[in-house]
Amino acid sequence: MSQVWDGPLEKIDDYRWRIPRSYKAGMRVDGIIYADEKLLKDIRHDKAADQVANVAFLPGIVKASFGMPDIHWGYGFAIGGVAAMDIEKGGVISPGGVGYDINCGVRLVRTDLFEKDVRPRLKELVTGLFHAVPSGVGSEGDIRVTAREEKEILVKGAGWAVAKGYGTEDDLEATEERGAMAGADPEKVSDRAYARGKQQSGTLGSGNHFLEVQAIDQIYDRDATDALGLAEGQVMVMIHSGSRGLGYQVCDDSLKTMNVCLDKYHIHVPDRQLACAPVESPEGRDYLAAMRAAANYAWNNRQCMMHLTRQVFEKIFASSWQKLGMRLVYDVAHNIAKIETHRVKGEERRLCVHRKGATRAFGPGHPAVPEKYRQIGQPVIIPGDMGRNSYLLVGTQQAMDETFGSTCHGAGRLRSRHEAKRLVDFHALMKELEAKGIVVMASGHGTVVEEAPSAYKDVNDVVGVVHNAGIARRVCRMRPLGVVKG
Amino acid sequence: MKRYEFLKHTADVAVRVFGRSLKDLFESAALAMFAVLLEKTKNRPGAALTEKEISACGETSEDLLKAWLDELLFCYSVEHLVLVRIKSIEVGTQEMRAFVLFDAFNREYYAVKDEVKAVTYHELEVKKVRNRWQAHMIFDV
Repeated sequence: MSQVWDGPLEKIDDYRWRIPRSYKAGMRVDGIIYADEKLLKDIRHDKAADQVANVAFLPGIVKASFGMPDIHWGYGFAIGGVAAMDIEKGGVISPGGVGYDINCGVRLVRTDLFEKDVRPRLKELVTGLFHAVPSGVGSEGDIRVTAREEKEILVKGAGWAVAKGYGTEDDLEATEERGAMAGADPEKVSDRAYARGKQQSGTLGSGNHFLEVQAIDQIYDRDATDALGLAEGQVMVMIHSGSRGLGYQVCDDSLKTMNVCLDKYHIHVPDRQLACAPVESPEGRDYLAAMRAAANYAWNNRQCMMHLTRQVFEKIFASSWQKLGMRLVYDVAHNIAKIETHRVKGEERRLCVHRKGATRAFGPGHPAVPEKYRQIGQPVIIPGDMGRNSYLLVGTQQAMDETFGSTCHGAGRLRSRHEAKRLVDFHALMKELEAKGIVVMASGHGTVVEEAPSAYKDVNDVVGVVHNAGIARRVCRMRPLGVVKG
Repeated sequence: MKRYEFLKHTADVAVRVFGRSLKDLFESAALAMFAVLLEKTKNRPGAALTEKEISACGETSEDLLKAWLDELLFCYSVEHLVLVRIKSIEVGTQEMRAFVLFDAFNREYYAVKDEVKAVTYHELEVKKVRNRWQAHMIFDV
């Protein structure tokens, strides 16, 4: 693949590279990309690094415009970008810095089962999950909600599901923001967004969304795995999904509104897709309120899908999910904007932190981390791509000091979907996965091929970089046993 | 004359669309979007089709094109309607209207391909090249 971007990348150390402010007149801060030499070659294959530089133009941005090792070209902001704006200094919020799939995120569920317990029933299990958890484009859920309930979901998030009996308080305790962000306003969500989200509660969606049954195949930090109740060979379930049509529409609506804000607030950016408004403007406030509503919808979604997953396990293993030890380890968002306090130049500042294709990774001792994890740090879940590893990490103090407590989110695409379809043969891919003992059930051939491992950077490399850079610490690695794809 | 061609893009789908006239271009764009969404696997002769009037407005041709596609995407994602044929279409400078024939989505006759999250503003362009029309758009999938 040819190199597309040949801008400056100054080496800070083996895992940090700087795009100097001087690269483009108008950059308020440097760009900093976390990567190693190997990943850097891939990073130059699209314009992601240029996008990191463009984000540095945004008013109120502090410290640096960050790029994670899984970075690739996106809408305005690259996917794998982190940027924080000082609210009091006219800092802006940008929907492109969150993404269309608001609160696309992932949760990890533990079980007391081991691979040897699950192997004999694997096909049955994956088939059961495929049928129980609606997946596929435009799929509809069995969880019926009324219009009034929909508004409740946008405020209560995962709490709505728990109140209905689709989970417990412990589940909320183990979810970022306890599964619901305060300040969500259902009135700021358009009718069109409601219509798109209406029948999609508890659905997986498609694209890179998936539900995976996994086994832990490597332990890196035994103290942490002991604290989390995890062991080698243990079976886990990972659910990766977002806010579906509701979130996409909220983003689309906000981009339309924000298009005029660049001129209205005299914001100069080299790319109009960085449409934004000051956080403390009517447009900024409206977007934040709608974004939070969409984020809550996504958390409710993942809670519902976990509930459906637990039910399938109960049926197949003839035991209650509680007796099977199917507790939620943690749930993280990786497309979101948060108002957080961080130390900037020795002062505590209120910032709007954008994490687009990036995960919060708060370190030990932080009050937002659930008490039971406060000693080890916030769990960080990194889904790999189909057929390859996923990881569990924890946040670190270094992440707090460097990246506003942020780290990567996954593997990051390497090839376009079109290219993947051209290069990868569905049957050959399925044979390859079968040879590894992985059972795959998908709604469509196209999505399987587009998500082929060769279409992605290697997650092991990406995680290696964040671990070595110290912005997250590896705890254990999982290997897929079964995959349900939309 | 080909209606559309897919271009290279890492995570999304970029398309160049062609048309003899502006309304022909809008028709091509609709076909391109549905080509991303699904493909017909079986013919269903005698299927009862739904006819709908779709209208949209926008300040520029680009806005208008996006508004038109947004309406079609809504019909598909919410009402599960699949574009079969555009009966008639009129495109002005800031308004457009079409009468569209839709089939009801059915897994037996259609295979789902990609989910289009949105028609983005990214590199959205409508222009006249010699005396043909061309548009460029990126779908977030």
